[in-house]
Amino acid sequence: MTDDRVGYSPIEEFLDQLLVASVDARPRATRHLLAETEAHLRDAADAAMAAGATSAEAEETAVARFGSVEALVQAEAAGRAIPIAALIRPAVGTTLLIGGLGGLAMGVSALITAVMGFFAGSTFIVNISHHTYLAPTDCARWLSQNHSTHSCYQAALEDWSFEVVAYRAVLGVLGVMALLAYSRLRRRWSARQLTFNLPRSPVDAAAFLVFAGAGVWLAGLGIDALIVSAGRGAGVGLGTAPAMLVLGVVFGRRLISDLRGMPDRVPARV
Amino acid sequence: MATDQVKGQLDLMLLRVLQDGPGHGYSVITALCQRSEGTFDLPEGTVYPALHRLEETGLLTSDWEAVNGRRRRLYRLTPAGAAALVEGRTRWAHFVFAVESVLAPMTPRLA
Repeated sequence: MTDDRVGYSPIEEFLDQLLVASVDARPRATRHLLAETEAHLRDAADAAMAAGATSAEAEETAVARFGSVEALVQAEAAGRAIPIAALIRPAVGTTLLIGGLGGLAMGVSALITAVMGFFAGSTFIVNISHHTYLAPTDCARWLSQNHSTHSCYQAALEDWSFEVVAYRAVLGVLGVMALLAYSRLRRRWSARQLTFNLPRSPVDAAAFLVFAGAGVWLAGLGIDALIVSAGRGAGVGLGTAPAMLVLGVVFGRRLISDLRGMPDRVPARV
Repeated sequence: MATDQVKGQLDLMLLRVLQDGPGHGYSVITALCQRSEGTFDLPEGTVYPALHRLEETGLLTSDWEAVNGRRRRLYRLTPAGAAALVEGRTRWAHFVFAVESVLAPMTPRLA
């Protein structure tokens, strides 16, 4: 049964309802959906008329076959929703990449710190006073293991400077493992057309701030130790700062490249 | 029942229809209905969210063109979409084979 109201068009009515129901959608998406829907409904109505229906019947048939406005709007909204997995994947990928590079930088700093310790001595790496001693059991253990040390102070110095290098080396190994995991996941997710990184610009900005900030801060600590403490303990800062600064420069250059590629004016939300 | 079942495979079938050439929504759903000989007689509007989702994920691309005086959005398969279609067809073939294997009449065991 058709509606006989003068000027009534089921297609126009449907498009009005669709426009009102799409109030929460992006304006451009709504315009496109309305244009597509109208073209579809007019095509369907033309086909129904070609099969013998009147204009009103053809429009009603076209609208009925299209389905409800609510179902269409809900399906569009569901398509825009970001599934949790789609957030977890890039978060994991980005964490592995940034964490892996940070760990690798710490591994490189272990090497630099060890070289510094070799040439400048353990006091260049750790700054402990002569009043700092290991626990008697630790002291005895170290003295028995390392015959080149003859005092608890020397034992503490060697023990702590070794730990400074060893912990950084362990972080380096973990960093390499994280980068290998990142590389593997990236290949697998790329093959399945899945995103493996968060948006590049914010990641580059955050990585630049973290690495460059850490590099400057550690270099400051090292220089401070050189000036104030006659170099005692300067190796921790000076050994780690170069690797951090290199990463800071890398991400800084990427950030500049990101910013150059951006339009001058950010378009309004569409 | 067919309508419920088709929803799970709609993306794959849309990619397959568009593998034959670019098409707008109405032509795609008409092809879907014709190829299935009327079995997949979905509410026609349901195809658009699916097309938009496929475009959002990079499997399709679209352009606006005026055809017969009407502005239409023409969808095309991307290389990523073609790859996803190949993968989806393989997955579907395995699934059908597995279901058929379960549904097939049991062969009587020899004593």
